[in-house]
Formats: sequence, structure tokens, C-alpha cells
Amino acid sequence: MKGTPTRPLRVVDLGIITAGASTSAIIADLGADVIKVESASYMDPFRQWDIARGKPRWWDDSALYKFTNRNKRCVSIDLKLKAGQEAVLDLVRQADVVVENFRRGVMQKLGLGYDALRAANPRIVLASVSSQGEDGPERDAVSFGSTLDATSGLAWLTGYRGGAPTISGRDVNYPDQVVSVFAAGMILAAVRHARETGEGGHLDLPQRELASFLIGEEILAAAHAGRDPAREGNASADIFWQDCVKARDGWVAVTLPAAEDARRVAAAIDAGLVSSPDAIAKALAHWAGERSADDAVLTLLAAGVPAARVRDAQGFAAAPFEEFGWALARDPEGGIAKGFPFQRRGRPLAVRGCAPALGEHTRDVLAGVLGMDEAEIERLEREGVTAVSPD
Amino acid sequence: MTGLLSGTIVEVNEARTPASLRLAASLATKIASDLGARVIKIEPPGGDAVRRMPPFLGSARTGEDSALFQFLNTGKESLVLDLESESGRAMLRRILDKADGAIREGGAQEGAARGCVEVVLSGFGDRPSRLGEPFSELTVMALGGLLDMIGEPAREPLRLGGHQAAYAAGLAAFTAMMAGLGDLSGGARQYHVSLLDVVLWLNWKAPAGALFLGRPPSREGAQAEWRTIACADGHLALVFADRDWPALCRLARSPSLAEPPFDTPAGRRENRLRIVEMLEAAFAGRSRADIFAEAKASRIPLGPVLSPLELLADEQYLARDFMARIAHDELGPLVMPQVPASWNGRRFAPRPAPHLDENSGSFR
Repeated sequence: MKGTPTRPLRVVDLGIITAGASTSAIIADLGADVIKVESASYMDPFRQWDIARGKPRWWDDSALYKFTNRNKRCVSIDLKLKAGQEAVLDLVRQADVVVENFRRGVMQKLGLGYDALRAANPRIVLASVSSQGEDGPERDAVSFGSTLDATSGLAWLTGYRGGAPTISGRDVNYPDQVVSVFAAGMILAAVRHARETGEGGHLDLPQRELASFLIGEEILAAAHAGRDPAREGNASADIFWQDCVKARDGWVAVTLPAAEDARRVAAAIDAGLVSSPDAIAKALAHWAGERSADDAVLTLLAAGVPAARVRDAQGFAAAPFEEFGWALARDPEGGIAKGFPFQRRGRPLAVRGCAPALGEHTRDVLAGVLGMDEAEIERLEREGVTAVSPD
Repeated sequence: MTGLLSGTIVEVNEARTPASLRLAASLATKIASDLGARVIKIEPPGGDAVRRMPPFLGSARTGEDSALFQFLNTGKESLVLDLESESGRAMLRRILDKADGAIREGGAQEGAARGCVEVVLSGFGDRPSRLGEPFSELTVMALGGLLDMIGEPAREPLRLGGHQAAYAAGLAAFTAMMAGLGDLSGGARQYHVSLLDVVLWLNWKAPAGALFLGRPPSREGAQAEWRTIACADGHLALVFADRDWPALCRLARSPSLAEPPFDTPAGRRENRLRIVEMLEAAFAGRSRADIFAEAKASRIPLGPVLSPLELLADEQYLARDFMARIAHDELGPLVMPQVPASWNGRRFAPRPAPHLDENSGSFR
């Protein structure tokens, strides 16, 4: 089982926006050669988000794109043209993985369905990150991440006690974020299998199923009892009392795992004897309202219970950069980049290269990976296959 | 094909570990186990505390009926070792010598780096000032800004349901393990996962917004553009892009929603509560299934809010064979979601979780 290094892992990255592009970014961070395929006629839509149009090369300006595509190379190949499809199949012959999160059916229309990829390279792993998977009656239902909060059951469990079910919302889109952490691991497992057996395969990774998997114990319990769970706000059945209390200048999250923790906290805040979760809730709310969040946190931590200020934008702006740990990083130009969901000792993950300009590595890849000569590269340019200006 | 993974991974449960780290470690190794790896779960005397954690499968809390435990430990072997004794530690070293990977919940590093890949979990990663600071999933979500994103602005911030901080860290630990076992390790054998870094990473738009993107997001509650709304038999997630608006007006049979002031993004932004009132009135007599069928045909990304029980009868999940049915010798049939992936159309069916110390015989 101990892997022997062979040639570097190579990914043909057709992933876009967050779910697909972030999956291949994690693999790029680990050291793989990730070649993102875009074109003048079809860019990653992230290139068009939150930018000032009209600036020269506006398509290379999106901060969201840069966050999600560092450590990658970018080749411009128009997948709608036959010559482009052939060039991508040539790349597939030199690769271990293809990552895509198009609408279901698009890969087949482009002549890049799994069968076509396998014909080009039987060891290839096609990783399809989708909403609902490759088949079934909901396969073609469109969604954003928060749609899947609802259809996975996660929204059912999220919300105030007695209140409506709640989604993670537009600025979190939890299923979109979390899927790349899982998908990257599945891809690495599949590549290892493919290298050991010589057989690749199609990896079907539905985000909705992942979100349901992440509440698996609740589904198991509901199935057994024949009864759905109720929303509990911040409370949890395994914890004596847990919630947020409002201090003078912000919210403080507090967890009192057991009754003995509540007694210790009651003593620390001079609340006298408390016996019930409701009593400690009232005492803490009153006590916190009379002091700053930072003071409240210090007292509670000193009493040995988990407590933390609820960080908001102000809290982030005031935090020292080290507080962002591995989650944010510096790029080679000194800018702030998205970091990593884990870290490696000895050979730490780093942002080695900024996100590529559209088609920045077209020549490198065509010549260096595909071995094309100058005449071939010029022919593709003339035919518009490798155009790099969407204007 | 027996599975996607082979080899042996050891899950080391320390006696005194915050529940959140245990859940992360167990989820990571559960996935590896379901994919085909041999997972040896080292439990402290008395067993993993998750065996006694809710939700439960019945009223008798026998130590076997935690749904949480049954879900998180499918297919593993259980061996009780007292790691405070020299003989327990010696046995662990022998097991690690033959293993390919180990997942540890922080704690002592003894037995580490014995040639196998090691994933170490913690609450706070490389933040020396927080060493020893108590934490929970809730307080980590507070520090990661995720709590600030959910709930009403005037009310207490809300956590996501379930154990999302721990499970997201579990996914990161799984992926770190796969990286270490694969060809990308470059000789590096130790990986670290921290709950706080994972939450910050998932919630990147908030720190990035505050530090340099501008317009940092925060929770908007009822005023959010995307939120849940009521219909005849439950709730829908109102999720849409600007381009979906005309189709959404048709779906609601509400021509007035297509007119000023609702016909522009700015106008909609100023009238969000009014829009919700109009949509809830329009949908009051219609079911989630009815609305969703039409939304699907019109390519609007609305979704019905489904409960865990409803998921068991969900047509998509039935068609994809997503829910596994396994037979437990004491608890009877158990239904749970499988690893959310298939490989050439094949799924990875889980096997029952072990009784305490069930496999000690094979280590003597």
C-alpha cells in the first residue's frame, strides 16, 4: 500500500466556480500539475464576478477567481471546436484525473463523456462533482449550494427552537464549500487505485448526498424511531447548556458540557446555586449584558469552559494575520490568498503561484505536455482554438 | 473489486479528548473503512464516549444504541487499549508498525512517525496562544465567523445543524490521509487538521470580505435574499439568480412581482420582506412537490426543505440507492446514508459498527 512516487500527478481541470475549481485547487496545493482548461468562448464564470468591466484584461481581475485557482496552470482551448476537443483528449492521455462540474450532459455534448476519456486513457479518473449525481429523476434539477441545504435535510435541522428551517445562505453556500474537501480525498484514493490496478473509472460525487451524509446519525435515528428530530437552536442533546449570550459589545458563544460545568460557571459569575439549564441561561445573559465580550470570554475560559467571541467583520479586521492559521495564506506577490483545509509538516502547503491569466500557459502546455511543434501551435491559433481574448 | 482502498488505518481514541475531535477522527476513518480499508479503532477502557452520545436508537441506553456511534464506526475493528499503561502503549506501537496510516486526536505523539502516515487533529492548529484553551464545535464556529452568518441580526447567531464543524474537519482529515498515502506526499508523512482552520477555510468569504474584498457578509435573517419561505405543506428554499426572476414570477402566477419596484435587483433588494409576503401568499395553497416540479421544469434553483424521514422516501435517493440497509446483530436493521460517491456506478456499502473490544482476539 505504501505509494512509490512515479511521475507527478496531473489533473485536467474543467472545474468552475467553487465546487469544481476548489477541488482541483486542493490537489494543486498538494503539488500536482493542475492544468485548467478555459477559452475565450467559455471562461470560468468566476472570472466575471465582482469585477470592473471595461478595464483592459478584465477577465484576469476577479479576486474570487484568484482565490480558487492558485497553483494552477491555464491553457486556452475551445472545447466547442473539434480541434479543441482533440487537444483535450491528448491532454487526457498525459493525465491521471479530469475534474468537472458542468451541468450533467455537457461533457457528452463536448465529446468528452467518460467513455471517450477512457478510450483515450483507460487509467483516467473522471471526477464529476454535481448537485444530484449522474442519474435519477432529479439529475437535471438546477441548484446553488443553499438549494441543497434544503433538499439534503441540513436546513431541517438548522434554526431557532420553534422557528423555521434555515439555510446557510448566499454567502456561505455550505454544500459548495465542503464538497471540495471531500472530493479531493476521493480523487486521491481513486488515483491510487487506478495506478495500482491500471484501471481508472468514473467518480460520481453529488453534493446533495454529501450534505445528507453529514447529518447521517440524524437520518439513522429518524429512520429507527419513525420520527423527525426538532430544531434546537444552538442547544445539543449531548450538552447540558449551550448558546450565545449578548455582551455589551457583541455575542459570546458558550458551551457548558455538563451540570458540573454550569455549577463552576455559576460560582465564577456569582450567580449562586443553579440547577437547571434555564437558570444558568438567565444568569449568564444577565451577567454578560453588564460587561464586554472579551471580559466575559476571559472569565468563562478561566472557569474551564469553552467560550468565544462571535467573530464578525470587525473581529476579522482586528485579528492578527496569524490568527487565520492555514486558512489564509500569502501569495508570491504578498497578497492574501485562500489557504488550506489542512497542513502538511516537512513540506508545508503554500501558494507557490498566483492564479493564471486566461491562457497564460497555453504554449507551455501545448509544447511541453503535448509535444506540439511551432507549426501546430500556430495552426491552432489561426483556427481560433487557443484564443485568449473574450472581447 | 472489493473496494477503492486497501491497507490498514488506525484510529487512536484517547481517553480524554473533546467530543468534537473524536467525531472528526471517527468520520475520517469511517469513510476509509467503507471504501475498503481495514480500520482498527483503539478505544480507551470503558470505550469511546460516543457510544453513549445522542441521538439514540431506542430508549434503553445500553451503550450500544447510539445512532451517532453506529453511523461513525461502520466496518471498523474495536480493540481496547489502556494507553496510560506501558503494555497498552507497546501494543499500539506494534499495531502502528504494521499500519499504513493513523489518525490521532492531538495528545501524546508517542508512537508517531513510525513510517506510517499520521494525521493529527486539534482545535486550534498552530496558534500557540490558544494552547490548552477549551473549545467546542460552537465556540470554534464562533471564532471562524460561521455563527455570524446564520440567524436573525437582532437575535443570537445560529449554528448549522448536526456536527458540521467536526465533520468538515473529518473530511479534511480523510483527504489529508489520502494525500499522505498517495504519490503526492513527497516523503512528508504528517498532516495536521484543526477545527478552527477548517471552519475559517469553509467560511472564507467572511474573512476575505473583511480583510480585502470589501462588503464583508453577515447574517441577514428574514431580510436575506435567499431564505426559506412557507408553502402549503412546509418550507422551500428561495434561492435564485437575477436571471431567474421572470420565471419565478410565472411560477408564482404573480404578474405584479414582475412589475416595478420588483423588476430590478435594486428594487428587489429594497422590498425583500414584501416579496416574501407575496410569494408566501402565492404558494399558500401549493405543495412543495407541486412547486418544485414546476421550478425544475423552468430551471429555477428552488428546493423543498426535506426532513430526515422524507429523505428515506426521496425518489432521487431511492433511484441512486443512497440509503444503505445493514443488519446489526443486536439493534436489528439500520438505515443510513452511504459514502456520498460512486465509482463506475458502484456504491460503498457500510458494515455494522463493532461491539466494544470485539476484535481483541485477533491481536493476541
